[in-house]
Amino acid sequence: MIQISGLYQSATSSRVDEVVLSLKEGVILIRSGDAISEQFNYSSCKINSTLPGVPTSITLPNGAVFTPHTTGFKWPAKKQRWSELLNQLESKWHLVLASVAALILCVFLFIQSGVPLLSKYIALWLPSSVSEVMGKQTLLALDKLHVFEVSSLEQRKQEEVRARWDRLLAQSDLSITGYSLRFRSWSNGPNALALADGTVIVTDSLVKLMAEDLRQLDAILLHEIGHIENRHVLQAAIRSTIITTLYTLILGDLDGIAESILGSGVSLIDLAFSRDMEREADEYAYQSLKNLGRPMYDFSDALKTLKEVYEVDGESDHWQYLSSHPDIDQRIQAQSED
Amino acid sequence: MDVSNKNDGTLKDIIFTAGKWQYFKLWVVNMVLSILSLGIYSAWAKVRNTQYIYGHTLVDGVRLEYLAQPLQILKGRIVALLLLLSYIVCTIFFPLFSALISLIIYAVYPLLMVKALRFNLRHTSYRKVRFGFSGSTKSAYFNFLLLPILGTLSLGLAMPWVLFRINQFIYGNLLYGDKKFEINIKCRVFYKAVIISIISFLVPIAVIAPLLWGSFSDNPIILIGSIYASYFIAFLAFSVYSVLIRNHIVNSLEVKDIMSFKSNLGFGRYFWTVFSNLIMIIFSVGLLFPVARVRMLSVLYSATQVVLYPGIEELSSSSNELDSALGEEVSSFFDAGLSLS
Repeated sequence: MIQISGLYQSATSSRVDEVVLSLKEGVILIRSGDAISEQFNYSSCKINSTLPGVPTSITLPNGAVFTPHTTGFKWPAKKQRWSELLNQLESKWHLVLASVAALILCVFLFIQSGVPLLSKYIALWLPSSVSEVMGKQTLLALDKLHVFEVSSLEQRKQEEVRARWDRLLAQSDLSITGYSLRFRSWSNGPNALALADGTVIVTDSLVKLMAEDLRQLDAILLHEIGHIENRHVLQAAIRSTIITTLYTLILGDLDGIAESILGSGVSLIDLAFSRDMEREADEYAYQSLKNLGRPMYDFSDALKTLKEVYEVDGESDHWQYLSSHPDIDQRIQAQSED
Repeated sequence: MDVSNKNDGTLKDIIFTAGKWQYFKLWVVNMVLSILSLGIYSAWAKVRNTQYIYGHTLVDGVRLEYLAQPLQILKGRIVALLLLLSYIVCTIFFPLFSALISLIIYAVYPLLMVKALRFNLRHTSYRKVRFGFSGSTKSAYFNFLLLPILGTLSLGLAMPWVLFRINQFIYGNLLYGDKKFEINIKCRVFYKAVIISIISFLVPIAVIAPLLWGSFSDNPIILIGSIYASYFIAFLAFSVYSVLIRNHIVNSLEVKDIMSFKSNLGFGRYFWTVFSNLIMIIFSVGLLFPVARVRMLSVLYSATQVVLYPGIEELSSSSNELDSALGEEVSSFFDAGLSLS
């Protein structure tokens, strides 16, 4: 016979009574003071969740709840309940520490290899209309927000660069329809960028910087084509989607400040991936130059020319430039390893 | 502590018996199960985490109960995940639509807040009587959307009044069973709290800034250091506001003839806990979040007392109806959650 004291919570009101419960041969007796107040069949009672440090209550057939005073009290049951198993898992330190280690390893491995692989496959699987809409919207947004202004390059210069661009595409056996070149004026200096739909944007100052030696500009264009050929823009977008979603799901419980500080750590992961992509595009540029029978130093010369501008420009620009791109000296050296 | 009150109420401490590391273990095991099940188990994990915290919260020897069903939460979570995913995809892939989507989120925000409040309160019970929220969606739009816009238009001058109205809306619509909470907060306390916290932000800045003036440009470390220092001071000033308002609100809450509350939260203890929790969470990359949660609740509960009146024994218990968890889940993903502790 089991006898245990606890609280009896009535089903119909907020009343709570101090009672003694006894269980004998499958019958529960509830006694308050000396009088037996109620009697139930144990098999029709429901045992509630077991939680660490919380006494396990049972719901009686009349809807009332009995909660024992003793925390460790175990209700006799035919089979082990899920919450009891959980309760055991949750109280073992070595198991918990092993799970923490496994958790960290899983997250690390997933970010390190799972995310890039997954984004590569999704990028291949997505219809090309997605890239098209995405590229058009990005350009429109950049124009509308006046990040870019209309190019002020003279028509003759534009045509000269465009002719070289067409030749590059033809020589590399790339279809002209998948790519387009656009000129824009940008206040922050020489730059070129690739959009998802195959558009390459060249800033006026980049053309002016390399006007003396347009072979350098060709090499930069090949680097941008490398981004497009590898579907980098789409991959980056997919990657951000995965990381942001996971981050919200896992850390969504945190309050504002902690979440935003940890969130800025997420952007560091993004920068690391961005550097990998730059390296891939560099490799593409070097390889294409080689295939076209051009000297590979065209690209490293272009990087050197860019480096000079950004070093004169002051430290902050330099710093920002290096964070999303690999170290420029490393990129220049990469050629000699090929 | 049982002290008789003048209106035959008894003063009861809130006893919080949760262990930091006990909760940490429980949280980790449930997190691992959630990840292994690709997130499906997370609904069960949420119920279990909350059950643990509630099960360790005792008033007058009786524990709080969490009554939400995992399946309800799972359904809400799936829809919330789809919404979140489409939001992220839109902002990243289609930048032109993202402004439109932010606008939509802003527009449904009051609705989500009300749904989340209703859900959380409906599934919290004490002595078999459920809490609840009676605020209408219409007044939620007025309080959560229109008033902040007015406050901004007044260049912040009306903001303390807006905060006063918002709190009056939230707490004045709480229900215990079918009994409404009464709240007796004063607008001038909000003005006082805002002014004190602005002063506690400006005074340290006014003292430190002249000392460092001029050295910003030569030394980037001083510049970065002073940016962090100003964050710290802002955090401190915000804590001043939080403590003053928390004490004021809790002390003005009452369910007539049933219960009332007392709060004497001290600034030092509160600030130290919030700040050390923040540092702990950041350096553990979120892993010590459960420890931080228990620490925070311990401080809040130990500064709170409940006065119970005889009427508490004579309420009829609530029925077992279920609400949709959608609002709660969406708002917790989009950071619109509200915590009442």
